Amino acid sequence: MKESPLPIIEVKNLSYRYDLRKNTDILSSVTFSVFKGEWLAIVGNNGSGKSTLARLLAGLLTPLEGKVFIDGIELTEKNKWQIRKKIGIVFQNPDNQFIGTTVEDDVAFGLENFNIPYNEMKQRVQEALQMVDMLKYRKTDPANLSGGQKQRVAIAGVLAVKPEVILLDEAFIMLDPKSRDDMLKTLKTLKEKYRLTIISITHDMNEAASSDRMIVLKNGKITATGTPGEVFSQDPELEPPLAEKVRRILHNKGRNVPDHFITEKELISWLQTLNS
Amino acid sequence: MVTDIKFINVSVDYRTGPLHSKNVLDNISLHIKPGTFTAVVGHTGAGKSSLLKTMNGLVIPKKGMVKIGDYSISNQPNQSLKNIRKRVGMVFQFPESQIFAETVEKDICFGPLNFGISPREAKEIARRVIKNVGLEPSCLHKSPFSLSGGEKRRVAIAGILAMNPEVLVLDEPGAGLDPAGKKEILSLLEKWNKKYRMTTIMVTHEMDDVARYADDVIVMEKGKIVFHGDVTSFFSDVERIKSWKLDLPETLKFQLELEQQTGIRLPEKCLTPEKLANALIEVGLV
Amino acid sequence: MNKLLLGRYIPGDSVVHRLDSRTKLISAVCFIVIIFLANHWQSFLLLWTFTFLTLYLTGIPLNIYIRGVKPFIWLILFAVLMQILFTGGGEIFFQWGPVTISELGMINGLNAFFRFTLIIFISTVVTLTTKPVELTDAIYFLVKPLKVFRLPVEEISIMLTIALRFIPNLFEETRKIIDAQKARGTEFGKGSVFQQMKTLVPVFLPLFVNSLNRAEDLANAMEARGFRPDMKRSSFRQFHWKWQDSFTIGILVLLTASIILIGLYE
Ligand SMILES: Nc1ncnc2c1ncn2[C@@H]1O[C@H](COP(=O)(O)OP(=O)(O)OP(=O)(O)O)[C@@H](O)[C@H]1O
Ligand SMILES: Nc1ncnc2c1ncn2[C@@H]1O[C@H](COP(=O)(O)OP(=O)(O)OP(=O)(O)O)[C@@H](O)[C@H]1O
Ligand SMILES: [Mg+2]
Ligand SMILES: [Mg+2]
Repeated sequence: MKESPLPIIEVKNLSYRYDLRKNTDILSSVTFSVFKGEWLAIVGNNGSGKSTLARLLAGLLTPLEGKVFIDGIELTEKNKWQIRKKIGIVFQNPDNQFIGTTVEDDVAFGLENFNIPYNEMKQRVQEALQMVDMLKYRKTDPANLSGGQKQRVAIAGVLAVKPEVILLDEAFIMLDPKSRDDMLKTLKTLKEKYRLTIISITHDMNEAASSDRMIVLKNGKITATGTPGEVFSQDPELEPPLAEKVRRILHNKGRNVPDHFITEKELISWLQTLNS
Repeated sequence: MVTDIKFINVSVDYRTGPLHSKNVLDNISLHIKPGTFTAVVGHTGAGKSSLLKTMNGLVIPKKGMVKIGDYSISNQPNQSLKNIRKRVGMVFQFPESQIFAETVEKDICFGPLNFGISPREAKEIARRVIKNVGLEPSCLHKSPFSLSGGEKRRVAIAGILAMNPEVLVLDEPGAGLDPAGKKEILSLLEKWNKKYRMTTIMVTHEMDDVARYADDVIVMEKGKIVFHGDVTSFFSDVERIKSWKLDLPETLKFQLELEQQTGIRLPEKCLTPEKLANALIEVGLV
Repeated sequence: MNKLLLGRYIPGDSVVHRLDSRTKLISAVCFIVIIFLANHWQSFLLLWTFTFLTLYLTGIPLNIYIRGVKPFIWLILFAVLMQILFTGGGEIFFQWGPVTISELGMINGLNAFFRFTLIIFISTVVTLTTKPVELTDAIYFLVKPLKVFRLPVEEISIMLTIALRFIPNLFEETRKIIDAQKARGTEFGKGSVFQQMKTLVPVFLPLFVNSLNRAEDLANAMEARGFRPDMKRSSFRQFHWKWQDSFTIGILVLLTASIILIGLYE
């Protein structure tokens, strides 16, 4: 992992409540950093505060306490506009984020906001739609698309803007596995090529296991953070990815297996040594 | 009451004003046996959601006929669909589009009240189903808008369970649920399917769920059904699954990778991690 | 819900669809003005011919337009009745107390009928064949010169854009609520008018609440995607003036001249 010393996102002691009359925090004292070029997975149960965190990072909600720094600049009411150029968000429900009346209008919306000239805009819209394989549907009303098609358009809208950070809030759940793999590959390539930073909120533990680093949220608190290996060994309640599941089952059956987190690759090579 | 579903040469398109889309279901014939748990899989845009909407009469066939038990839906004006809707409970792909009332409780009670259940009884039901989907009863008085994505999904499922339908039609019910919640809810569906022989049809992208919960599988491609058969025969031909651009269950994918890289051969196709572990023990590796 | 056509766009590729949105807007405004100038049967004949030609050229079936007039039928009848009953002159056909039905009254009634239906037809043509966003672009373009009078043109245009973006959302929301309620046993469009109205009540209440929430979601999404009301934005939609546009404007000038001439001639 290439960590530059200056984190691109720094969250310090962040707390939030939707209902100020209640005194239970939705997020309480959340602190973490994200480094440039990193793929960070955020996992946690339903209602643990992941989407709330996403909204705070976009400056759509104002923290009760704590601070968010993006690229070294503190996120405030005043400069949230500048910061939004750096961070693109795909929300959990694509239906609520379509603004254009056709697919291409919608993808162009972000570019219009940043005052990108027409010719460049046209090209970027085309590229983004190509990346998600939706060029065919560019004249369609987003409301008339299937679930997976909607999510692709939402992702294209963010890709077109070419932000430094992309935050995906369960952006792949309606995609078929093949498209999901393709999309993950595309994002990984972009990440390598442009040192793009990706924060992915997900329930898919296999996806999380392939990230550079993970954060686990529970009831608004960070309970574990580190590489997937570290996190899955720290938190026994977390549903592990396949290889680790198999290792644990074998372990429980009293078999002689490695006593630490294992990836699929490691499991295969371990079995290979046993075989020979 | 055990109900089956028949499609007889059904074609469907979408209309906006005078414009027709091309057929999203193209001359489909189908028989889903009573009491089965059927998974519907296929590429994005293949027509899975449309197939489900047709079962519930939300989309009326342009051609052909759909039969739910003794009741039928076809392209005639003024047919009453109340009987169908009472029997077929449908969970939409996006839970947000399913929930509309001001509170969770009102939303869950809407179905039962519509079918003539008394308000007191309906509230009783609401308390029961909300627990079934793993939410606190204190949730009942919240506004659906103040729920997280996964919580909304659970409420949407609860609203349908409350109607106590004979046929359950679910469009990606596991999407957006945390792993524990998903297991809990899908197991509940499986239990009801076995116990009350409630015919269950579920769209999913997760082949692991297909392997774990389904009896039968329907594969859709471009508005047509290209496969309808039981799970064992579905998973028997790996090449065919790949040709439909579908995925394999995680475990099977891993097994194939392992066999290919190491030359180890396992006695059978393993669809769950437990089976894989057992197979590894069986061949004497670990 | 499918009945209300105003504010809907039906995608298509007809000559009318392809006209520049500015052309369509100017022509419609101009046409509505001359409708009020017209008061001879020859003028109305011309206007009707022009309208039907346009309707035909859109490639959208006539019954769609007729459906568009339907919701206004009571309003039209009321206006016509007012004209017939309360304007007078010429030969008197019938008299009862203050109510007279006279020749002029009948003519005024007929004129009112023509004017209303023509206006509805022509505005339906514009909205059905022009994307709402393009329409606001056109409005913005046309009122831009008013900036010299210190009119907050940009803000008005943005507000209009947002309002227009919201109309399809409202349709969408209604469709969803109706679908959700259908799926749980409500039957729409069954029984007497009264029963039908009754089934709609539980739709409108959530529609109201949901659209407020939706509006908030939409505002959030716009903001998150960098939208800022007071900033200069570029536009993905460009105006393309073509000879068809010049031609249309030419026809309208001719039409206006003819209507005025017919008026002067009599
Ligand atoms: N607009 C709101 N008003 C009040 N409470 C809210 C609102 N949005 C979310 N909540 C509550 O805040 C908590 C955290 O919600 P959040 O949406 O952040 O969860 P999440 O981790 O994204 O869950 P999921 O995996 O289900 O999407 C939940 O308990 C939810 O009920
Ligand atoms: N309301 C609509 N109007 C017009 N076309 C539609 C509408 N809804 C869906 N379609 C089109 O019909 C086709 C089938 O859509 P459907 O929603 O049934 O797909 P799906 O198999 O459920 O896909 P996904 O896995 O992405 O949800 C798609 O090509 C889609 O673009
Ligand atoms: Mg969420
Ligand atoms: Mg679907």
